[in-house]
Amino acid sequence: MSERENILNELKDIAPELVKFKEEQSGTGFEVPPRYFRDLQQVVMQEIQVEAKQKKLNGPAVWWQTFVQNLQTVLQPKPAFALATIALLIAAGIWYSQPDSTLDQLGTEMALNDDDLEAYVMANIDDFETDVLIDMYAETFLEEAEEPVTEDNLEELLQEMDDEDFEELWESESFKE
Amino acid sequence: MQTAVADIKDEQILNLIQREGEQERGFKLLLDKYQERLYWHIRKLVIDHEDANDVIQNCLIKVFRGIQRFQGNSSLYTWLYRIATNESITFLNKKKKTGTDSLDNEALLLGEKLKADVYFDGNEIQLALQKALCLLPQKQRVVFQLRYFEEMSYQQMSEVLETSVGGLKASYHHAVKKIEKALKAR
Repeated sequence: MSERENILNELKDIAPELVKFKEEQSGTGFEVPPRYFRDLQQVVMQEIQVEAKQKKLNGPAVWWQTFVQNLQTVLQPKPAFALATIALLIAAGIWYSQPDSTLDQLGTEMALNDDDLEAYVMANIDDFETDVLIDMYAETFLEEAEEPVTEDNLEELLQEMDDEDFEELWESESFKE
Repeated sequence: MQTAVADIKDEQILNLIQREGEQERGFKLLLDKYQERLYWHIRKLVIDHEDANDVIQNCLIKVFRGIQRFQGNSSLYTWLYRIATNESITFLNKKKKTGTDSLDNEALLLGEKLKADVYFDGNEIQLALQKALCLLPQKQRVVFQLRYFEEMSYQQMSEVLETSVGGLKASYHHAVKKIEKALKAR
């Protein structure tokens, strides 16, 4: 059975007017200008040929146009916000997943060596209360001290101290207090 | 003996289009075989010849641009109808945005317009059918046209409109009822 017969059977009971129309009318009443379809084909083929020529001429630049078009699409507010969020998440993920060595390295870089320590103490010597320094020095180096420590000779004594002395002073209980 | 255009198989057309240097010849064959059918399909949807002329040209250019990427998942015939239908719907939607007429008003206006149209020479029944079609919602109108005028099977319609067969049968049934009622009331 052809599709036309199927359609007519389908309509037979519910739409007799439409069956009658389909059987009696040969068209819809629409018309086109004379030679329209021949002209249409020519117009379309011409447009296609022009497009094909432009494609050849613009060949190398096509990738650039596509790139720019894609970029313009991506830079629309919504896609741009989505991309920025994704980039932020990726950056956070990478930073978070770094091994502790980075932090260790950071800690090492930030740690003070003896020279820094000495330089710091010397530079900020006025910030230390003299009495405290004297007591600390006496407590730590009491046995070695040849003369009593006073405010006058404190700076001289500190100048004579080497790295080990400073370290010892730094580690001493009195300093920690 | 020259082969009739209708006898040329879609595979032959597609083979020519895929072949280097034969693309234009292949596309010309495609136009010979399908441009008229596609035009009438579009014309019945957009009604006016000048509008149909614009839509068919856009449609055929799109077909040319996309034919290289045509995968053959559906038949060439349904693929072409899908493009033509989508182009027509896009055109009608754009037109609808600019107009504020209700469906009833549109039907009245269409009647007047068709009577004055130099490219419409229909009789009273044909005019009544066009006015009745104008009263349908867009989807039902497309479904009715593909089934009643293009005589497509539901399976083919399903490929064109990417809708389930069940849904199409329901839409067609509603459309038929409404048109029959409008024709009887004439």
